[in-house]
Amino acid sequence: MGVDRGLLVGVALVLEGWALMLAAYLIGRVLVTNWSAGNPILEGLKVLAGLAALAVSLGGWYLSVRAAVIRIKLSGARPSD
Amino acid sequence: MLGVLAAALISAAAAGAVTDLLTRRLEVRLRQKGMVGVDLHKPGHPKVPEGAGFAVFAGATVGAALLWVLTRSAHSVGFVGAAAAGALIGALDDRVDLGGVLKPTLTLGVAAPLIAAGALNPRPLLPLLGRARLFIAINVLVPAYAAVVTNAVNMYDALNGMMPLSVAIACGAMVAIGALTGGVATAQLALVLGVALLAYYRYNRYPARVFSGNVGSLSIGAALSALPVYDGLEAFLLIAMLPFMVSGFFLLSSVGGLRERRQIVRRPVLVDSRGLIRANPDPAAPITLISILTLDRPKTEPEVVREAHLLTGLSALLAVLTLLALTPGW
Repeated sequence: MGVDRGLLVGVALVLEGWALMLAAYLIGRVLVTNWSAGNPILEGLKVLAGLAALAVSLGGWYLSVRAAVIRIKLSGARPSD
Repeated sequence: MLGVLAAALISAAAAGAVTDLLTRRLEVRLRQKGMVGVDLHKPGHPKVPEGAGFAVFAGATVGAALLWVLTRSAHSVGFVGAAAAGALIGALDDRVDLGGVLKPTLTLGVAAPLIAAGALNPRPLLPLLGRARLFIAINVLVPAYAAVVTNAVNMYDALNGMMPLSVAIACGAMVAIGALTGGVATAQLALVLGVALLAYYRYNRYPARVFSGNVGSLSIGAALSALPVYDGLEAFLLIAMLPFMVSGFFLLSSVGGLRERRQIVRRPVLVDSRGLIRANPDPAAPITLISILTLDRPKTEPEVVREAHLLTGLSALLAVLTLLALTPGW
């Protein structure tokens, strides 16, 4: 019985999701800190910038996990313990 | 401070007691009325009373009402309203099958009671940023956030005991985060919902005596989404719910959009005659959290659920650590 790659990918997924979420906030911070609130256009841009950062993060997350999943599937599952 | 704690403890105890009592009643009544679902992950496919998750909604509502009586805090009203909206959508879906697009669209309305009750906090606390100023955008963001959380909980209700204990763990994180930040509303309501879920978990864990139904999972999801809104702590709930997000996001991404379960041709997992669950070896099969956990070897249902709970525990810890180490201005 070796390391459970399924659980390992699950843990990596959570940690990666967390890191990407923080990265999105960091990008948001760099992009929009000190913008004035209450202005609909600036607020809209602020939200759009945050959402774009989030979309890029999620896209990267999905592609990396999909690659890992397919790699494990192609290598074949082990029998149950 | 002692009064706040006492009110929360009394309300939570009431929520737990009502949930326990009602779940027991519903187990019998739903079976008598033929409202049952098939447990596909067990040999013999037993039929289990479905819709008992309503007991959590009822228990949490009693707890929140008691909280309102004891503290007169307005946040209970928005919480109950959101949960009721979720229960209504779920009950409708259990009766007429709203489909893969209409159901998530309707859940945007879960936030309406929160907006009506004036519960939205335009200065949400964000990791790395501190208190943001979103006086206009908050009215758009909270409905989207509430719909995401509500549907994520609904989609997470896949195996015995997986959803209620995971949501209870997320509630535990919100109790801690609410207490640390002075978010009394969040901490109190999270305690109420968490205890109701623990009472319900006794009946939903493996081998399940009851299923939640959409009425249960959508009302629980809506209630969960409402917890941190009053104190602007939504970002931390999303971190505590990362496994839910993984499950929902990866399923939607791999099937290419909003689909009902029966519309998904390739199944993400296969169940053998002994009840062991394993990921579908087809590389084109949808990716879900369960299929990821069973990638390497087939597992029993309790084993998969235990690992899902472990991941939620990790996320809950990350949410608290994010607040303590990476969030300014609280």
